[in-house]
Amino acid sequence: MNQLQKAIAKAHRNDRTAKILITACGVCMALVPILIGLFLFYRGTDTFTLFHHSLTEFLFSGEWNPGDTAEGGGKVGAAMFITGSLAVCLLSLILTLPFSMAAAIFMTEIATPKARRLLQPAIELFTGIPSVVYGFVGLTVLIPFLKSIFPMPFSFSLLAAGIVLAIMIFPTITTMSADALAAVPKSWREASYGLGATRWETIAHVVIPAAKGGIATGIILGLARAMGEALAVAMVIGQMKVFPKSLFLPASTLTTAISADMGGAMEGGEYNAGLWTMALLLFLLSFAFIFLIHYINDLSTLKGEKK
Amino acid sequence: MALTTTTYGYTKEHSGEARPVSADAAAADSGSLTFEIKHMDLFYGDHHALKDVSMDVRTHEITALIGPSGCGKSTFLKSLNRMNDLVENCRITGDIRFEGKDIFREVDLLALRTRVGMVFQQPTPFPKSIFENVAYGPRLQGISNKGQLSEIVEQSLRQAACWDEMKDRLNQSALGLSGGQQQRLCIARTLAARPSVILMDEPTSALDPISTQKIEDLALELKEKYTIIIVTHNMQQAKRISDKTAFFLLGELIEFDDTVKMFTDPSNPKTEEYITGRFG
Amino acid sequence: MLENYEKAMGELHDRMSVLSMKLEKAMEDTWYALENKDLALADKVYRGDQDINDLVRECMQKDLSISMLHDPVARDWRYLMATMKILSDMERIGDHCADICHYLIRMENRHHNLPLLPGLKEMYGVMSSMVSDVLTFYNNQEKTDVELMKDKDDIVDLAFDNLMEEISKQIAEHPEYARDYMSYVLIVKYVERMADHASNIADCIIYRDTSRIIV
Repeated sequence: MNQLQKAIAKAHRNDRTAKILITACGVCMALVPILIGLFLFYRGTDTFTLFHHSLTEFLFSGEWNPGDTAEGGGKVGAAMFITGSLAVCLLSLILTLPFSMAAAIFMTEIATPKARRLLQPAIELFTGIPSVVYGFVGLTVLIPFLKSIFPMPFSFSLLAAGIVLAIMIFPTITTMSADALAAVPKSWREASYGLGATRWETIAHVVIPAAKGGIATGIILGLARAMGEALAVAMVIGQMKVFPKSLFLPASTLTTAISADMGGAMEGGEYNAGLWTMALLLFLLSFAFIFLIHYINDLSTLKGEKK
Repeated sequence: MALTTTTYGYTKEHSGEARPVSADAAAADSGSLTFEIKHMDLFYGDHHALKDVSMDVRTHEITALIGPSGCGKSTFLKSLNRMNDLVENCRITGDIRFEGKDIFREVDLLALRTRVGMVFQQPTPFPKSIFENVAYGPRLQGISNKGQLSEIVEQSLRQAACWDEMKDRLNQSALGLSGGQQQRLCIARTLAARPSVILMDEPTSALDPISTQKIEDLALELKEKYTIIIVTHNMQQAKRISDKTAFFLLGELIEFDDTVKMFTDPSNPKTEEYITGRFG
Repeated sequence: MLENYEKAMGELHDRMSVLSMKLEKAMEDTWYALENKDLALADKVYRGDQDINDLVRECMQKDLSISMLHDPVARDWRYLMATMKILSDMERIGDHCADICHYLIRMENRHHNLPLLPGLKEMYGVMSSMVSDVLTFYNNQEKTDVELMKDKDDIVDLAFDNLMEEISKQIAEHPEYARDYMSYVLIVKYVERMADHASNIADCIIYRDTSRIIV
């Protein structure tokens, strides 16, 4: 009995120790984004508190001319960058979505298991390619190619950025959609066939609606990645501080603006503060995306459904 | 409250609900043959899963397929509505005729699956509302008028003896129902497609005894208008509800006869060994 | 579960064998008592019927519970159903042996010392062989010889008619022994009934073996 008691006491001790260690790690890691957030808040609100610009001006004004000094007095309207980010994300989504969905459906519904085993790692390989490589290839291959077809006065363009981003987020959306489609139970497909449906009717009316939660998640993850991409976009978008007026003209995004000017702006100056506020905005946007994902997942389960 | 005497002689109370006649029930009357299967063989790759099976299925009868696990009874059932087409490397030879026509050469695949419906072992309601589940088949057939669909949904749910339970939650998810209710919903869904045959692959093996009994009662009612073929590993169930029983063993059809005859005095000694529990 | 079932069926079969043996012994003893006017033996048979009834009840219980608990089909089902009916015929045969002995004792207590009826020995012999045969067919699963059983039944019926004739003649000649001869009538009737029951048992065995129902 004594041996048993000792063993039990030791087991309880180990259990407690493990719990403490794991909790500590978890808490520390959870603290990191919180701390980052707090830091961004601290620096990012300088524009409003120190330099007395309004939120409306920041979000909606197209005048970007912050003073690079500690006195300020310039204009901090980030609307052109916000629009640029949104435009390039939307463009990449529109370009990639048809291909993503087609690839996902092909992989899960049509391809033979052998083909799937080749295709899946090939797509996943995409995600391993560094952004700088994308940017580089975009710069050296895509831009001349586009220039030869479309009128591109400045070589760099919104379109080029959209295409590069589309390729970058393609694997994310495809693999998540493919997983969601594959997770639809085979029994639902069989039931659909048993009622006299063709393969496409089954895909359209049963499989895709059943997978729409996962597909939506994939799209939003892709969007989040697009929103946050700096390097590849910077290399092909031209970084002109203007509103995105045409597909064939250069523009700027929040990320390119921050990456381009952060190094040069004076510490503590208005310009610097403006950039920090843009960083804060990006941070808040990612939060928004995550909540959006949860919301859509909840929406996609009908009333009364057991999750 | 109307009292009716059921097949076993005990009385059951009906609420006033009517059980409407299915307008498009099988044109053939009892005594004719719904399925004629002659010398059918089935191969999964090199594996000879069904060997020289021949059987006639009469209209408006319940035919039970029994046999130990792996004997081929489910495989045989799935061949009748060509669900085996979905399996890779599946090859079928021989003659399978539905209402006189060869199901591989003379009947359109979609039409076959509409006329020959199937209920599976695990209840499989779609992640849609109850209404949309039942309306799925009719929508495939081109019916989109809301009024028509409502009528068909109500009729099918009544025939499946679950209208009262579900009429107030037609727009709620079907996944919120209990197992027995889900299975009856699946039966309603199959009925909505206006079949003349219902194939049931061990429909009650995942259900509790009360739900099982409800579905058996349902099968007995449905056989007046439909032809039913049911795979079951429960011999008592085969005895309770079927008119004819087929015994499969290792891919062969060993014996096929009236249920009473088979269970009182089977012709084949292997049948007797199986049904008296001496193996399997 | 199957083991339980096989065991229960085995037990039933064993008890039926014992019952068969007891029945045949009762029949032998009855004849011996009748032929030799052995009243002590007759009394033994009369009281021994209680044993036979107990055994019949036991077998019926076993049969019923196997049927309920184990869902028998085919050959097993036919065996159990046939056995139930055979048990009730066997119980009647036992009863009739006791009845014969009972009337024998009453008759002998009047001390008229009547001779044995001519033809009764042969009649009893045929009936007795019918019962033996049928019990053998039942217990040993041998094929039932239907024709033979029918022929023997006809012989018994014929003997019955002859003996009735003989008895009425005797009553006319010796009216003072009328009471005794009326007991004899009953005894002869019981022998004929026992043959009938044997015939019924044969029909049940035919159901067990071929699922044909003969009434």
